[in-house]
Amino acid sequence: MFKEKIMPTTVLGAICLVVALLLSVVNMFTGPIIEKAQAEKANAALAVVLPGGTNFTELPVEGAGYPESVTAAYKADNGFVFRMEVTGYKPGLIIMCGINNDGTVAGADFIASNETLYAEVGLGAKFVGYTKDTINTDIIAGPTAKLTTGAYYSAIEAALNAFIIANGGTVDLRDPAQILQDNCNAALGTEGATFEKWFATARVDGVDALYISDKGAVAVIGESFVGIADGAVVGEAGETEKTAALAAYNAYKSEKLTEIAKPDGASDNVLKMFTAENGTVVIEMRAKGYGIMGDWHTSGEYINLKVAIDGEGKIISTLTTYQSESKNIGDIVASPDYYEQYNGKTEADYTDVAIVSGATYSTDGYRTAIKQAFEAFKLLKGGN
Amino acid sequence: MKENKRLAVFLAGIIKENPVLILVLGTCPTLAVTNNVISAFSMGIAATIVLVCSNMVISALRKIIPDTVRIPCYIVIIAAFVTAVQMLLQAYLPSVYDMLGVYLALIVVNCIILGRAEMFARKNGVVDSALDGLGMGIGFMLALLLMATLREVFGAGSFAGIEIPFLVNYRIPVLCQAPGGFMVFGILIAIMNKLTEKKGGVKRKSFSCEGCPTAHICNKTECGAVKEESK
Repeated sequence: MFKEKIMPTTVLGAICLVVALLLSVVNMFTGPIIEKAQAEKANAALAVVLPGGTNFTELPVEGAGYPESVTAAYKADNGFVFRMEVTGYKPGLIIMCGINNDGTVAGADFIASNETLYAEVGLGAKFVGYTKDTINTDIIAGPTAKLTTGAYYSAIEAALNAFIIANGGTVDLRDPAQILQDNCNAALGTEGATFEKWFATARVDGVDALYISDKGAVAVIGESFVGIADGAVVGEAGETEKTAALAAYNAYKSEKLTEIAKPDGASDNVLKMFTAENGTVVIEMRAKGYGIMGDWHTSGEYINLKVAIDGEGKIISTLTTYQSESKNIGDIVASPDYYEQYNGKTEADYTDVAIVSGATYSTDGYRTAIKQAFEAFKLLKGGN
Repeated sequence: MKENKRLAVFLAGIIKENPVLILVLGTCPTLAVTNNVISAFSMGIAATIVLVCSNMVISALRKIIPDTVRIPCYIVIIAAFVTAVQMLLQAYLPSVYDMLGVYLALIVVNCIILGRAEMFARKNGVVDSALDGLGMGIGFMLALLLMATLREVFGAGSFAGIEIPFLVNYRIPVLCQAPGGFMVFGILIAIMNKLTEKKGGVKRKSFSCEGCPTAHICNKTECGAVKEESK
């Protein structure tokens, strides 16, 4: 029993114990050196975007209130380094951004990318020296790879916001659409009301947009939000603002659209046409995007949009009502930032709105639909 | 007389029983690290240190370690030395540690080390075991260096990272890849066989049946004897 079971177990156990003891002694000497070397290695990598950075320490990201895209944060003696993960043409664009203690971007570079046009290469250098107040989209101005450069820009913006938060400041990180809803509610003195932008069929000078809810309306005039309930302005506002807001509201209330037959010769993509008493023509269109380009990867669906053109042939409003274009690519046509570029354009200058590289089929199809809307408008008005 | 015997023990591993080219042991690290001379030399040194130390400790404990648990005990002892070498390299020679990568940890299961513990250290004294480990380690290292020299010089046109100007344009890149490793390995073994042909060819080591899981079936005392009989 002793020789067969206890002895082998004891010997093996004793060897394991001695070995563990000896290894812990070795670790006692080598552990700190290894730790130091690894920290230096990590610091060297971080110092690429924060030159001269020393004593990097990782900060907790969870619960810190940083923008969602910030996945790691490091503090050094001379600033911070943030790691962001964003989606450009494809997901997985990981960007490191160093920010000096004075709030200027010290350096930025990507460490992983699935993008296809290499627009991210060297882009980080263009942001060096910018701050939260001076950063602007001119930095990424250019005709190509807008999805990639836009994602890069949002990553740097996130880093600058995270920098402010890391230094104890506050930044409004709400979604812009949510900020708009909150501002409208505040102007009207309501809570939780949902506002929808009025597809304006009348031009009201001074009013940028009118938002409608079942509790009332809110006119956006520059930076001001003017609430209107029961036909009267709610809260404080200047006389000019009040007048403009009420004029917009009255235009909305008196809007009366009549469906008319589309003129002969109008494109098949013109679906319906309406006229308003003030001479505005509203045209519902379909546009050929990536979905029906006729290739094997077709989804078979058109982009639907509507356009309001005033009596002078100038676009008052544009709105994408349906699209099933590729996510994060062609679906840019659903963004107000994209389609509202056509507002104020005429047949002479609508081509100023650029075709977006990476979403070429979707945006080119959209532009063609705008062209066909102008043609239908001209036919209706008796032109050719 | 005793000194001659010890010299023979030491020299055996270098040529006569070279672990790589004669016994064909440790093939995995041999093929993996011989695409450049520096990693081959580093692997040779690390394996030699582990071989000498583990042989000495196993030999010193040979009378205490029960037969039934000897393999686990050898593995623990070898793993201890490998881990210590790993820690020291990571601390003081991190570039070598990075270069050897996973193959450094795999020294634990290098059959040369376990083989010497089983075949030599557990039957001989501490000094003889140390000399055996040293000889085998040097033999292993020389074989690695020979292979690495051929692969790096003709495959990459450099030696230990230093470019050889007149060879740079005449490289055979496949030699630095896995197929090239197998080719060089095969050629070296063939040359070794040819060189030892006059002395009766490579004398394969006779392994003891002790520890063989099928020993009770063949009922022989030596693997060689089994071969003889089966002819």
